Amino acid sequence: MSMLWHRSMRAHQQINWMAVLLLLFMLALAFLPAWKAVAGLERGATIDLHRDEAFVQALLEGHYGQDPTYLGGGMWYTPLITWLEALLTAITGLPAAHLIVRLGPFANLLAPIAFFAMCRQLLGPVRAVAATAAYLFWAVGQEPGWVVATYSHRLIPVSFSQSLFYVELMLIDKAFRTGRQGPALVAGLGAGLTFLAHAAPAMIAVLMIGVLTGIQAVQARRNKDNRTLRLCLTSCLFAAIGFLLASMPLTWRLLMGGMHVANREGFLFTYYALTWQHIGVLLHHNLTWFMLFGTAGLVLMLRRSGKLGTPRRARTILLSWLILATCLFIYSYSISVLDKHMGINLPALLPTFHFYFYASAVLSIFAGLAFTALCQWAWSRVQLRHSPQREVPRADLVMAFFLLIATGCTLKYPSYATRRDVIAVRNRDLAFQADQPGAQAAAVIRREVPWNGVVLCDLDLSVWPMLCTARHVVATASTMGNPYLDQKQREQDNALLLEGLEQPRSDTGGLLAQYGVTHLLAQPAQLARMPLAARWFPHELFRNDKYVLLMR
Amino acid sequence: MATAPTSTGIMRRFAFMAAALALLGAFAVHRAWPPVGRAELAGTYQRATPLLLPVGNTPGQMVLHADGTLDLMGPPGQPAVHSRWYWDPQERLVRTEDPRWDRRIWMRSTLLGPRLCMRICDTPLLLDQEERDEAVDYVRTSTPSRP
Repeated sequence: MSMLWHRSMRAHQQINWMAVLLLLFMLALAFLPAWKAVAGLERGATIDLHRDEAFVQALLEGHYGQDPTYLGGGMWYTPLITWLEALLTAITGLPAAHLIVRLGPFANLLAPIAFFAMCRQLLGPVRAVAATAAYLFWAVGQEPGWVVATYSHRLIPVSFSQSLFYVELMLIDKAFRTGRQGPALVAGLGAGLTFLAHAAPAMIAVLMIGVLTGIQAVQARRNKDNRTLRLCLTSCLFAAIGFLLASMPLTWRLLMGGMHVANREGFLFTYYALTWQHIGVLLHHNLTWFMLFGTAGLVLMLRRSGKLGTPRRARTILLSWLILATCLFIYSYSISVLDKHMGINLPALLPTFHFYFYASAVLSIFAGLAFTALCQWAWSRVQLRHSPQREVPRADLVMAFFLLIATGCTLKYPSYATRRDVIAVRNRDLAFQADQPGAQAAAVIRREVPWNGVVLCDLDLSVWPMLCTARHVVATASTMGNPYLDQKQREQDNALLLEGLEQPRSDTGGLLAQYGVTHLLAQPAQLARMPLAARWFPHELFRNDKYVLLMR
Repeated sequence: MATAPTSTGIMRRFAFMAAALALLGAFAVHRAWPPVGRAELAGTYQRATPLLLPVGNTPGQMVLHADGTLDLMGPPGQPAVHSRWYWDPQERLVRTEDPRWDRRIWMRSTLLGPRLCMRICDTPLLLDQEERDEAVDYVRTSTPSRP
């Protein structure tokens, strides 16, 4: 008996190691184009990277918890990634922009690794390999990497924070499997940490803890099992305490600063392919084999098909994940539509694409499950027809299945490696890198403008070259503006101030004082149209072909 | 009863699998970035017609002349474009003197070989914060033209 158990364990371990080998193969393939995409870059073109650079810079200059864009504003964006980036910048001594753009391919490898580990815990190593292959190579197609859950080379919060979500799902699974308070506390801490990285995965995780607790509580109540009922409610309380403790660095500041959202633009942003007028683009991206397998997996899951071999808890977790992501997506989408088309302001959560992102992640798992079920069915047919008596060792079957997946990845690889998320993003990064005057201006602004200074400039310049400098402006792009400050008022005042430099206005002096404006950034042609600029900003600090910086 | 895997059997399987994966990996990388020279690129290309993807104002025909000039023709109502082009083999990108078309044409790989494609959205890359980077394929219809 002991010998049999030992042999079975050995075979199981062998399959585990083969799964790890295939994971390494897939990671190596995925990493290569990501690494090529950042080669030689000193700064990324993406606005999110500039925002993160500003927070890193503010942290390194000792202004933790302060908004680097609006003077007097507090921390408003989830800070975990910028903490890590600031730490690494301090350790390596590299410029923050350089580190952020080059770190992406390495840091984001955590996402597929965590995805695989999560699938392995829920579904076993064989199905985990199939799901990870779908997640890495089939989910993304020609959509942007920030819309679909996959490995991407940009260190933006949406891409990085998914790794914490997958780890959190493992913790949730463990907490509900053991039913003890310790693991529940750890799951709560995990959700809090995830919240520090990004709000979307934390929302799904917290709601999932609530849903699973609800299911358990209802079952215990039906069975009149008061002990289990008490235990599951206490565990939920422990998870809530853990969440509050871990998320304190952000939630404390948000609560102290008041939670009133004055700038909804960032929350209402909708990925263009999710709008009705671009339905063709959405269908173009989604009428795919991946979606077919994902849907088939979902149908089999809903029908509780034994073909999927999914344990009950895993099924509950996966389905609640999909349902929660879909409900949050529908809610956010409705809020955005109601606000934009009917002027109805309901509480907004986050941009819709974040929940689309997490729905696509669980579809990768369903696609992997459906593909595994298809292969099992095909093998059983072959065996039935040709050699019903002959037993093939499981390890050999699994190896053949893994090699089939590896072959599929290989065939998909040419289009994967040159997909839009790699090529078009690098193309934009290179075009951006060619703007040397902008980089020069950003460096000068950071050097010459003090932390408490405020630069007046138009909204375009507030994004580049201003945003990355961690120096304040009167108004920036609405999606990058502090959601707890009045963005519209700032935009209006910014326009009035710029107008006051072109023609006399009685309120210019007052507004300059109100916002504490110390500098003016303009393009030379723009400055030529501002005859009053020299009156308010008499000292020229810097000038190149594209930018002029003046001081009061 | 499950067949017991022996140590030799396990090692043999791993070695076989590692070798197979190495071969597949090498093949994948080779197919993803095959070297393409400027001379191979010159020729006449027709825009593909995707079923659902709107192709906007992308030209119906693109001619990359071997002498380094570029002609973009159609769609109806759009003026023809004549410019100079050069090939960036490192980035697999067609660069043009006309800034409106510069960095809009690139090469993507497919299992059946490399394909030229063009970014549909004409908003300049640096102003397009939403990253509308859908691209439409161009299919070669003739071999390199001579000046």
